[in-house]
Amino acid sequence: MSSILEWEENLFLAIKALYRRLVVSPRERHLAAVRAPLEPLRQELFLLARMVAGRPVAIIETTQRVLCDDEHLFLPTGFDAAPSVEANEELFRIKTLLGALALRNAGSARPLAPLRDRLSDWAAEFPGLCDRITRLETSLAGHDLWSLLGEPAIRSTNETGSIRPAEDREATDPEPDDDEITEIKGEGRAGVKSIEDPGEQPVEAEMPIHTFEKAETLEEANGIDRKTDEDDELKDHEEALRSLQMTQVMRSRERPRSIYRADLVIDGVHLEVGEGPPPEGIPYPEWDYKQRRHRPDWCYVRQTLARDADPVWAASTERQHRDLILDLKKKMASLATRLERRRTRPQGDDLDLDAVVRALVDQRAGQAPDERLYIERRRQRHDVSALILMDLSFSTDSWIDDARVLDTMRDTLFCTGEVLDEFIPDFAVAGFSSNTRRQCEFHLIKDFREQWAGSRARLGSLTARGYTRIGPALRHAQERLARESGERKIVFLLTDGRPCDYDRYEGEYGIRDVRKAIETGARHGIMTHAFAIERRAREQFPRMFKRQHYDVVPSPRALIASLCGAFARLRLET
Amino acid sequence: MSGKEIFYLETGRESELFTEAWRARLPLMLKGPTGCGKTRFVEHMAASLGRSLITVACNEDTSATDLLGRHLLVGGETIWCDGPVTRAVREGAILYLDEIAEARADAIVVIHPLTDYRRELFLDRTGETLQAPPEFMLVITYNPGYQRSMRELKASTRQRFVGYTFGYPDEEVEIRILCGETGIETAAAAKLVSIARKVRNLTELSLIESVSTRLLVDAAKLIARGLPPRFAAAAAIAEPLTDDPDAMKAIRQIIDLTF
Repeated sequence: MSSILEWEENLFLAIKALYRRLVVSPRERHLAAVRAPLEPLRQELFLLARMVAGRPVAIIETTQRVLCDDEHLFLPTGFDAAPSVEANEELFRIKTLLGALALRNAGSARPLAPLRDRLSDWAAEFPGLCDRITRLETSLAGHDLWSLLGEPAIRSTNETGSIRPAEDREATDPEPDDDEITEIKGEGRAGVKSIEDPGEQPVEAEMPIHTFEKAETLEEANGIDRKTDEDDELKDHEEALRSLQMTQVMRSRERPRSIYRADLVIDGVHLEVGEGPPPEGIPYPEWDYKQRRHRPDWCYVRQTLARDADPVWAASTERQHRDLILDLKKKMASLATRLERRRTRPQGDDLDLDAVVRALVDQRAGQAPDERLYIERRRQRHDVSALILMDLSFSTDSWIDDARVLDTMRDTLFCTGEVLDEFIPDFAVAGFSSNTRRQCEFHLIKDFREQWAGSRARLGSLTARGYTRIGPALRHAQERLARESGERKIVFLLTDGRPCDYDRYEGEYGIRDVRKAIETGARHGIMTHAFAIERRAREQFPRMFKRQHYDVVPSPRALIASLCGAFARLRLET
Repeated sequence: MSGKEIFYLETGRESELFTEAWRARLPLMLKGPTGCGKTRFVEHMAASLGRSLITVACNEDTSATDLLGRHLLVGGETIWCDGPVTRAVREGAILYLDEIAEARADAIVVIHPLTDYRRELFLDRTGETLQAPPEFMLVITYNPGYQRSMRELKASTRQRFVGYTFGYPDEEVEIRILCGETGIETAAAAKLVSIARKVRNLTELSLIESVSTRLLVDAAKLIARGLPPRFAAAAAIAEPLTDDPDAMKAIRQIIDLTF
């Protein structure tokens, strides 16, 4: 990397650093002090928007100054235009509120007046609104509130786009390996075009460079040192990526080396996977909501059995979570020993007063009394067959609360398995991933009737792979359960809540397919209950699962308790 | 029992159905979310038909014995004591079994002969068979899929009833209910209803149970007594609904903007 220009570069960097310290930094420090970030407010704003708009709304993070489109509300990562944190938070609330109000009217044919002229329409409903806007405007010295908020970009009804909360990956190393990957959060963008991969091969030769060139150009403009090594360099490119104007995206089959995560609204083409050699596996149908019919034999599921095990991982996970496992076992035991009182039994712990009185009455009346005078307490539990289905896709490689989602899920399954093993012998654990409809993997970790002790270490060797095609995995799980004998049958699904596959299995199509698979299962007596750690799943889950059939839990620890609790409920309910 | 007029505002054709079911001697099943006025409706109908009303709030321990009656030991003598169902049949009252699905299976089965053409109640303890008089009517409520771990009513039981589903009343009716019930001004009632309609949009996210008309009536009562509307609405609507801090903040935003 050394070159004869090194001293010039160093001089330049030194001047740049000085400039930053003297000029840029004080301004940035001030802005940072008053800045209100979106993340802590996100859930509140989502709920506010949902209430006001009266229909499902998705929040997209973007720097574009657009208020909303037909179904999305656009919010920046943070506001720092106002002089205090509170006022910047107020900016978020006002923008959300106005966006939701505009969304409510989306779809009406008449051309819409600028936002500020429409305030009077809403004043009757929200008398407090105008005052709050006026107060906010006054506090924004030097900034125009209306340009900060942006105007609605309502599209005409025949133009469709799909929301794709995408993980746009910056694959800088074609060789897969298991090193930790870097993830930075990018800004969302509306109106992104999806361009097709010109050929199957070689992917890395053309398109990633095409995308990468843009970042490089920006990088030069920002005067950053140009590095050419092939490692994970996303961190170094962060500044350049921040100003990336993403207008086109392309899919790649490669494992990500770094993740640049951004919410995109893609104006899209329908990408089908071309015909190839006949795929292997068990064919399953897929629901096409536009055609209102199943596509027969559309997805091919290959069931594989996990063989690699990591006993070291299992031992350390057991050590790490020993207290939690014990605690849950105690809880389950207390639930499992909840007794049912059975009256008029020939033996039991208590006298059944009703039976005694009845016997007395019969005796007095000269009849032979019934001798079943006792109340018996005994366990009554349902016979449950359950299959825990775990999302193994690349998106589980992301981080929530300083923990990788995949690790959290593995730990959860480990603890759940430890607890359930004592109470419910008959359960199976499987992971799923996909790479187009022709390659849906169903990775069996513990089969029914297999020993938990012998299979638990396999969790340790799981790695993230592929995409999230939930439908076929669910259908296969249902197929497996249908052959089991339990009185109650249930699939527990652990996912981040976003159906997505390489061949356009996403957005409304994916959601409807998952919903259809769940409905079909329910008709055959197989329930589905979904879990997610990510609070954002609240934006997706209600569209796939019925109320009461999913849990969005705030933390990894809560996930384990929630999963065990669901089992207990199922087993004990009468 | 018909002396006291009970405030009730018709939201659909429920009174007509109730009256005709009563005349035709058919049992009635009322479905709908909590606090939407089912109990009030039954009280109102009993009063307007001039029948006494016997109400049983069922829970998971409600057994056949609880409904039919039991022998009591009094000084060596056993005395039969009618349960609410037996009493209602004897008196020709309107019997209202609230949340019947929660009751134990044996309790549900004993009402079966009352619900078909036989209209009779068999008391195995006393060996009696009671024939229900024409004025007797059985009304049950049932909240399908309303609570977690909610029990379902068996098809064999459901099919013995004619049914009616209560939703929350529409905007205008709900405003009139609040005014009629609490004497609050129409403008304030309209604001409470507007808040409720927005918060009901969150129900599908399974964060909260829906805002019932009952909660709105509570808020209206507090406002009518002079509490500041924002404070009253937060206390009567936001607090009972949720413990989730984000949902609470969002609901409070709506309240603050509306009042």
